[in-house]
Amino acid sequence: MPRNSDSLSNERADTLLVSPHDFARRVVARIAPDELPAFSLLARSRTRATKLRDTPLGSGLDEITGAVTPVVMLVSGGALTALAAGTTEEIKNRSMHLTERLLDRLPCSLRRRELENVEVPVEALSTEQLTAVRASVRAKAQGLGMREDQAEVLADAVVGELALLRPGEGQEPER
Amino acid sequence: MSSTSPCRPATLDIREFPSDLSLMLGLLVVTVLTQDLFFALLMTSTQEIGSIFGYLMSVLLPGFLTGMHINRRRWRRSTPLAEAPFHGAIEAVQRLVQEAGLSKEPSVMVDPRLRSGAYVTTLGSHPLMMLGPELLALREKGERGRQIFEAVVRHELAHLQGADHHTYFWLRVLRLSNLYTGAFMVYGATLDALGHNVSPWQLFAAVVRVVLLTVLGELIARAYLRIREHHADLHAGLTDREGLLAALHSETSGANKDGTGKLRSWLRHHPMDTERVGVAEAPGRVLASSRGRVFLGSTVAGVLLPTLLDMQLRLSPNLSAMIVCEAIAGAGLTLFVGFTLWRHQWYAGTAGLARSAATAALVAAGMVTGSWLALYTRISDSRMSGFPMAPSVLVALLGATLLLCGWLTVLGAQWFRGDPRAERMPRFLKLAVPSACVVGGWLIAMVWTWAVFLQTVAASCSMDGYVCLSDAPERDVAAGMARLFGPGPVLVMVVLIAVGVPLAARFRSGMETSHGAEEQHAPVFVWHRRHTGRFVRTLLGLGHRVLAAAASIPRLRLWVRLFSMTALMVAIWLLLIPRTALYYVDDEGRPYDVRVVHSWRTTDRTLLLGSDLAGVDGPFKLVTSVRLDCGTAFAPGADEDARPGDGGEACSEVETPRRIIGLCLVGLCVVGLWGAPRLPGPRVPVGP
Repeated sequence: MPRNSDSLSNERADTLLVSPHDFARRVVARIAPDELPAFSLLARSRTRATKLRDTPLGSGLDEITGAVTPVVMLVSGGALTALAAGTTEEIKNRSMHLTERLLDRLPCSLRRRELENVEVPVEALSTEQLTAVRASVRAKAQGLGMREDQAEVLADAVVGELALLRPGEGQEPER
Repeated sequence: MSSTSPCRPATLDIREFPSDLSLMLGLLVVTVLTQDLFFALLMTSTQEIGSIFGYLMSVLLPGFLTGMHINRRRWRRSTPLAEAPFHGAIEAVQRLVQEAGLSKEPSVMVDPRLRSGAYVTTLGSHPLMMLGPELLALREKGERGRQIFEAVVRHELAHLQGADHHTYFWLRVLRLSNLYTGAFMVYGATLDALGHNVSPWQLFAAVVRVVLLTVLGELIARAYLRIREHHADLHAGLTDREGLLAALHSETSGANKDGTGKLRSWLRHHPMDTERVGVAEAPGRVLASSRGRVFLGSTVAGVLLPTLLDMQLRLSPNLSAMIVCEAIAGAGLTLFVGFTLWRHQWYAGTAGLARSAATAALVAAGMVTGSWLALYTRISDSRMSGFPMAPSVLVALLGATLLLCGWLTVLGAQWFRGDPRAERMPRFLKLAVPSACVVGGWLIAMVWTWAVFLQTVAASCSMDGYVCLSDAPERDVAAGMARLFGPGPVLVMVVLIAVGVPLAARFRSGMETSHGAEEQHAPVFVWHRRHTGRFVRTLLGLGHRVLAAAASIPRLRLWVRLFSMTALMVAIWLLLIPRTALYYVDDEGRPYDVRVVHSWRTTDRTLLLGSDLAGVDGPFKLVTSVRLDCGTAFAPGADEDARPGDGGEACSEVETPRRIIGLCLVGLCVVGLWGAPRLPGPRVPVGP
């Protein structure tokens, strides 16, 4: 299947409607398949979370990173959005801290827009663009507290999935 | 004195030490409740208890309902852990809950809004533990992830074990009531300003005071919550210290780690990460005193004193009651300062006279500041205002706090010489607490009475058309205070206590043997068994089983103390509040249909209605309806003798049950306060 079943062909032949949620699920299936059963819970924790860093009688440790899914949701969503806008440089230079804050402060109604399908120009995806996306994803993942080796794997997985969106590319990974 | 280093307290059982922050929170609670009661008394047009209670509830209920609503909403948006796809975590949480041995097991839920965080709350009386999905996923990420997960869950279980979820719930009720009454007072002041009864400047001052009072309450509540976080950390670290440290080090929020923003750290519910790690590595650090906390505690006591005094003057305007009120508030403040100094003594291992002097200055500054913040004494009338800024009384206040803090430091240092490991702390507290209450209560009462008199004289002398009888009011008031608190049996007793107790501490601390430490862990029944027969031993055995069962109640001693103090408050209400009897007189001159109203703020304490007014022919002396001031349960009213026949009988009918119930409650309070430290309680050593 050159194009995934949940990716919709657009009227314009060179673009493809991609669901960030399903794109992230595929990335998670590649790098952390043990998190797939709880994917919906873990994905929601970053896309819909409000900041609860100082909850009374809480642990006070709301920023511990361990699960991969929330990071995948953020970096893959950012990568797709940037590709759709054609501005990979934008995500490259954006401070992760700022992004996280902005995401958290968005009202629910606006945040849901993140999960809406984005129009990715798959035909025009060049090797340079993919390289830029890889670098930005790696930096972003490290900014979110991921170890360097994990961030490398994640960046490869995201770029691999993006490449699969291009017509004539390989098969979907096994789940 | 044995030489100790700051590392020494790490080997002590921290829970042996009395909590200064609990006492500060207690001062805040009493202050807020007094303000609420003041508000209720101000609002009520009648003197009926029902009406007062209604207004009191109207300020307490919003916080209660808000808390219920928030907790319910949190519960509704979460899903039970058993239904979540984290099977390994489910078993681990069940095991940890069983290990904790809680009296009431919590419902464990997954809150999707959390990330890797967790918190505890309550739904009604049922405890809830909320866990974030990322935290649950972390459990499956290797050994380190498992350690972090378990440390966080143990931390939350420690909160439940300490009943912090209940404390926080009631804290929220009081905080909101504080805000609510403050907002209402601002509303009242605004209306006054619109009606040109007060100047805009006075309105501004009222608003500033309300804001500062709210901030003061928040700062104290958050300081208390932060210390509870340290306790929960230490509790969690008992089982797996490495796991706790791994969890604390794994926090990635740079904002916490950079240590910037000292002010921000005061506004947080949690300590900064660096501070948490520091306490987890060296638990004795929680004993170190903080100048900011001393100032906060003194400020809230400064708010409490004039508010309490104003209310007392309305209810029973006499000097003795005023001094007793001041002494009670002063004893609370003294214990707070004493606990702070004593904790630091064992932490630092030195007497620290410079710290003692700095503490005294902060206490004096806090009391003055707090007295100017007290809002509720000014809204209804300006009888009381802030601490007078006269040099004589300010010097007296500073001198009194210096004496007090110096004496408390010496007392702690004397005991520390013989007991540097705090193995006999309960014995020290038994000796030190009553004497500190007497000495501190007397000193604070003296200074505050001085301030009240000076304020009253100064206010009178500044009135238009008033001829001031003294050329030098400050000097004359000081002379009056010297006569009032000067040489006499009370002063001799205070001096004897002030000199004798440190000496006793010095000798008793050295004389104690390890036998004392054994008794400390023994139940109260050890003493009884030596003096009682078989039957009584059987009864005591039964009682022991009941107490053993009661030991599972979290913070049993605290609850018993709270119950005892509540009983004391009710007893004071019953015994010391003057009452007016309303009754009718039958043809034989006997009272019937006796009812009671409270006597404050009423001028018609004696009202006789003649039968001719009721349309009955006959001489005026035939009385049908009487309203008679009966005074308190122990003192006759001013006009009780005016009706020697039915007056005494009616007042007796009013006062006798109150006297009996009030004395029973006092007895109950004494028994409760005596028995609370002897009750079995969970003892968890926190040192490594």
